[in-house]
Amino acid sequence: MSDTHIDHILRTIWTAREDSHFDIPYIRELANEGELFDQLLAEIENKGMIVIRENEVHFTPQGEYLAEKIIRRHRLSERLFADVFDAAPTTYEQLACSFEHIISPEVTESVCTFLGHPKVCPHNRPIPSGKCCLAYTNEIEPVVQKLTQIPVGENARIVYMLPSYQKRWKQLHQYGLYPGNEIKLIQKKPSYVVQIGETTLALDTEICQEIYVKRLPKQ
Amino acid sequence: MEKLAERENVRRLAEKKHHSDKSKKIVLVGSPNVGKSVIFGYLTGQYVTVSNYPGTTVDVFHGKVQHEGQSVEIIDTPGANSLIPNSEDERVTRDIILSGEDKAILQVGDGKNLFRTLYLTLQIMESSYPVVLNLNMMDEVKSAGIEIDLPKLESILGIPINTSIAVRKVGMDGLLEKVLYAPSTKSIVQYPEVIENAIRDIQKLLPDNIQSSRFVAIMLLSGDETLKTLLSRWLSPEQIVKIGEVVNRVSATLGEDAENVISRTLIEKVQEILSLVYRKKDKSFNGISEFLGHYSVHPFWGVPILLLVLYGMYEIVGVFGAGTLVDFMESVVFGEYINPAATWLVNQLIPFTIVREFLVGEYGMITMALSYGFAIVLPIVATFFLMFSLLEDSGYLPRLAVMMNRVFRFMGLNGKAVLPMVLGLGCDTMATLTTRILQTRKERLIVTLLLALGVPCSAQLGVLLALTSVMPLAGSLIWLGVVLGILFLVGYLSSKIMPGERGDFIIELPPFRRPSLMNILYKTIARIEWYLKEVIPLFVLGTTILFLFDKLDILSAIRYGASPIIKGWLGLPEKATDAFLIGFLRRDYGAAGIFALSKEGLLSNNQILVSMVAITLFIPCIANLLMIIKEQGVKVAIRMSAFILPFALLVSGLLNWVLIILGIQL
Ligand SMILES: Nc1nc2c(ncn2[C@@H]2O[C@H](COP(=O)(O)OP(=O)(O)OP(=O)(O)O)[C@@H](O)[C@H]2O)c(=O)[nH]1
Ligand SMILES: [Mg+2]
Ligand SMILES: [Zn+2]
Ligand SMILES: [Zn+2]
Repeated sequence: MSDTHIDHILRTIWTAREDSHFDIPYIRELANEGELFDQLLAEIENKGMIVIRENEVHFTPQGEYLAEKIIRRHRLSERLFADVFDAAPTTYEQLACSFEHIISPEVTESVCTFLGHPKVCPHNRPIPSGKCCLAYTNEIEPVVQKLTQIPVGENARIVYMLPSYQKRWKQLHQYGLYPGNEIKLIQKKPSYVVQIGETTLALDTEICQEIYVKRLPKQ
Repeated sequence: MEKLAERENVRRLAEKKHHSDKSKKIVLVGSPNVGKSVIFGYLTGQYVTVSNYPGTTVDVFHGKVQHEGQSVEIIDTPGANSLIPNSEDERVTRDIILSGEDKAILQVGDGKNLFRTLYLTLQIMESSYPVVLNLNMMDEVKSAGIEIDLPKLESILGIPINTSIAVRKVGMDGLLEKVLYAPSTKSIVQYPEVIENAIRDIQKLLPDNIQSSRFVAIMLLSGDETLKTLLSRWLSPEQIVKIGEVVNRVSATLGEDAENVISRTLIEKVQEILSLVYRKKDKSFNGISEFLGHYSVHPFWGVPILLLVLYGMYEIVGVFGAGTLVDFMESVVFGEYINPAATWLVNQLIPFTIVREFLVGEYGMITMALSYGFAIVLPIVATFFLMFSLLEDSGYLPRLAVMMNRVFRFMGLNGKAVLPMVLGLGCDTMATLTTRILQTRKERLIVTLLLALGVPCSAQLGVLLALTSVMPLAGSLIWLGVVLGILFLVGYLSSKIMPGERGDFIIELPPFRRPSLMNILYKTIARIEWYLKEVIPLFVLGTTILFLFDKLDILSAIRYGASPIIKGWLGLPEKATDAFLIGFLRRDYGAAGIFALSKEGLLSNNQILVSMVAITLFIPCIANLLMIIKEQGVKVAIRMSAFILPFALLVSGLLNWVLIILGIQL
């Protein structure tokens, strides 16, 4: 079996686990590998990456380590294609699926830094952090930064948003706070005030920390 | 061409016939602060409050008009950014749309904010009701340098579009007809296959009599929690479980929540439309409005501007209203003319002592109820409302939220709560209703409590201001400090005790707009009318009770009974009991009683201060209590009252004793 297939299954198991699913039927459906699935699962078990108990799949420490790396590469790739190349969802998913297998650990770190150490993929799933994220300080200005980090009066484009909960996200969307849209930071004190199109909004600092933007050159 | 027009006419006639069977409903829907209420006023000739801040309308208003012999019901709703509600007021609007009758929807949108407008339009169009989109604020659209290709937009959406400048009545002719003859709409949004299938699956599970089942299905897929109660009315628990399964399956297949995909699809559709019809040229600098908008929330200049606004309010309401006008009304109008004339007239005409006393005695209708109501309170209320309307219409109030957000966070609230709190200075009852704009129940409860506890309404504030003018400045400052301190403390403690969360601080700051004189007059008059209708009768009632108690010798018994509290604990003269007694009806009336006592020279400065604090924190008025019951239930209302009354007496009594122990004589 090829490594890409194994990577894919590991990634699927991880994703299922995020949604609290461990049962094989669920994973089988999600993986969408058809006939191959059972064979692959058995192989992964043989390699000691997972254990199967009562029809449920669990990672071994080794499997967990590998899966985390794959997930990280996959989701960072998604971010890269979505944010930087503005690829459509179907496109960036496909691209990420191939890209994840070819990028080296060094490149992964560079991509992560380049993107400003994002915390979630475009599907809003968490990206496991790497060494670069831990060492992350403000030394070099990343391309993508929090809204709270740009100077007052700057225009920026929203790259992604990381709301702590769904309801907040929806509310922000309605005002036009949405990846791709332009935003202007009017002031930071006494409260954050931003402008999106013709709408002026006052926001909590916490919310602004969840909005990641790319600064736009002055017109 | 002709044939087509003819066919159209026939169709219209047929529809008209159909419509005339029962009264047709038109629902005004739109984002907050886009001019729905102005348009409602134009269509129905009925005034509802119009102000320049989001969240003016928080309840549904109905109006009826006759159109070509058929009666049309027009409904104004609270502003909603989305039909998936984030707060109580948005929920009110959503429920109106879901309620099963035959209706047409008139969406009012801000032409400047086409993104937000269309986001809502696409949602509304899923309901399949006839929809007309009215792009309002076209004056601001123009000055912002925005161009909208209307014919193209109309053909993309497939619904009639109208443009207007509602405040100037531009573009409003024929709007009613447009809505009445609007055809049903078809959704123009195509969701990904998985979602479309799920929509159909859910539609099959919903009862047949739901008109807008596609709309409901989409709401359900969007994870709308608030629909659950509605759903349990329509469906059996098993069916609800089935719907839940469909929703979960979709999310599993998509690898993310269905609501994200739905909202993304909508947004992408809106952006696609915008790219075709919306163009922004360089705009001209919009002088004063932008200048004020910037500096009123400026980290540095915001504070002096706030102080200036407060100072202006104080000069006009406190000095001119409570001073000059009250003096004039009291000593000249009532003191020199009405009271002597009424006394003389009554003595001449009426032989019975008891009736005479009822009219012009110590607790007389004219000498007490009407002279308090008209001489002391009315001038203050009128000037306050005038100034307050000015503030409301300018657009300053939401900016206050920016200035105060930090302070309110200590009380488990956010800056948004400034709106109901400040509105409470007008009328606590209306303000209690406005708590609907707050996101969480915890916030609504805290603000309701604070309003009931210690935010004096206009009438009371006026009398209190009048009282401060007879006291040394230090006394007034202590009063202010104690009341603010208590509000803060109670807010802080209740935010710690009550479970639940603080809502997000997300508030829109509308542009500063030049207030329209007509609107300010309308609003002031409407509020004075409210005062005359709602407050004066209670003054009359309170006076009657005092009069009866006095005659039946109950008053002295009550005074005797209350004396340990009034005299012993609060250190006030026995006669102050009357003021607190009528304070049960309305705090402002109680305050007026204290004002009268102080005028008679029966109160020392310390006593004025203590009674001011007591009456400020006293039990909320009956109308407010009823509103609390309506919004939060009887239990909450009882609990709050049971806390407020003893607490008010506790705090003011403590103040009395602190003053005594420290030997402070004001
Ligand atoms: N410049 C301009 N201002 C307008 C126009 N229409 C309404 N306004 C102003 O917009 C503000 C809001 O109007 P309302 O009618 O209260 O808005 P609403 O949609 O009912 O608001 P909510 O009840 O808060 O949802 C007021 O200050 C109006 O004077 C318009 O066409 N042009
Ligand atoms: Mg309104
Ligand atoms: Zn992803
Ligand atoms: Zn990193």
